[in-house]
Amino acid sequence: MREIVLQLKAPQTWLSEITAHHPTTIRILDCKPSETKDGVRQLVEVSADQDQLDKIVNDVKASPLVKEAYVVQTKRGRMLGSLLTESALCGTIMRTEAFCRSCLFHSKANPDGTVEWTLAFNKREALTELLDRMKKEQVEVKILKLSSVADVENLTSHQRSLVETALEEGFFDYPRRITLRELSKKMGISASTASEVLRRAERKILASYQTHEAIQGLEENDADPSLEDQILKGKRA
Amino acid sequence: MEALDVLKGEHSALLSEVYLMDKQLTFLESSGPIKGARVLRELAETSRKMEGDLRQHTAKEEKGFFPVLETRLGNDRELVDVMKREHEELIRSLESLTTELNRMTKDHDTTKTWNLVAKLQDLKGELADHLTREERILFWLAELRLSRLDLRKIASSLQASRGPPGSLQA
Repeated sequence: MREIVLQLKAPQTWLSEITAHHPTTIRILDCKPSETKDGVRQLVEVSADQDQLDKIVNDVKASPLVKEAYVVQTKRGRMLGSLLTESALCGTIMRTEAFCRSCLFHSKANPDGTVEWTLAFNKREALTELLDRMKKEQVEVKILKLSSVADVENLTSHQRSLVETALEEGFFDYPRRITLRELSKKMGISASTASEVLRRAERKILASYQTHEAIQGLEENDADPSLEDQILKGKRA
Repeated sequence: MEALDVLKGEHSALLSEVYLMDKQLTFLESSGPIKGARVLRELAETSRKMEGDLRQHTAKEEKGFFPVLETRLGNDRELVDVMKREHEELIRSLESLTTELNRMTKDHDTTKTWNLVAKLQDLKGELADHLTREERILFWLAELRLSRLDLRKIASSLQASRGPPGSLQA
């Protein structure tokens, strides 16, 4: 698998609009293409003070960038929702075989108004198709980095979030900074579930590391210049 | 996602039933007393069938699906409680509609339909909202959080709680 970091003008999104006006934390948990061109369905989590939450939801629903919104309040100050929005860039990604490693909606804008967007792809053709589509959509894009990465994308979001928290909290440090019981309590799951999820995730990561090493070996023996190199040269010229 | 597809199929069946009642109510309002009595009987029959189907469906979700999902939801597990509360509200709305239909049948009343219209409108709105929230939020989270083993467990539990022939099927 290969990873590419693009730099482009920060798009106007409902999320940037809302967070500019309200003290809130919004996370996009997942996204899917919708039936319409450029339509994207997003599963979102909104956290804010309880007295702010209704105002935030009203503003989300009233935003011209949100076509449809369903929300459920799960506890005080926390909501889950499914939104339909439009994004030519996300739409483009969903129609190619590339996928996001960072969310464009969450990307923090640089002082010059640009954002960095990290994407991954398996087939070389996906990158060509993606750049072609961006050109057609008149998106000015600069390639910052192109590299080969280990494939951990097959982790479920639950596994990924647990592994990330475990890493942050020092579960993999020696000596451990957090016990399995403390980690599971933090995640709101039982210790046995946390142990099972971590074991499965570790297995996938190790298996993917083996594959990654094998692919790198093949690439080092590849005498032809790669398509990515050609694209990079073309873009830099 | 076979398990979730089964539940989605049942959602469609419940929506079809509520739309059928809407259609039957329109017939009732445009019928004379003789034809009206027959349409009222049909409406009451659809309402009874839907009540049975709704109870069966919500029980299936609450016994076979929610307990497995709850263990995987972590901080979002209260979403399941919200859905259970909505189930109770839906059943109450449908019971209220059935009560009104029983009153009309008992009084041979095929003309004073305004209460029934209001109750059916409420039920239709509540059902559509609940099913959309369930499919767009809860099922989506389930797709992200449940393992294949969880899904197999749910599928076999749903299979085991299938109702008698002719009852709600996906």
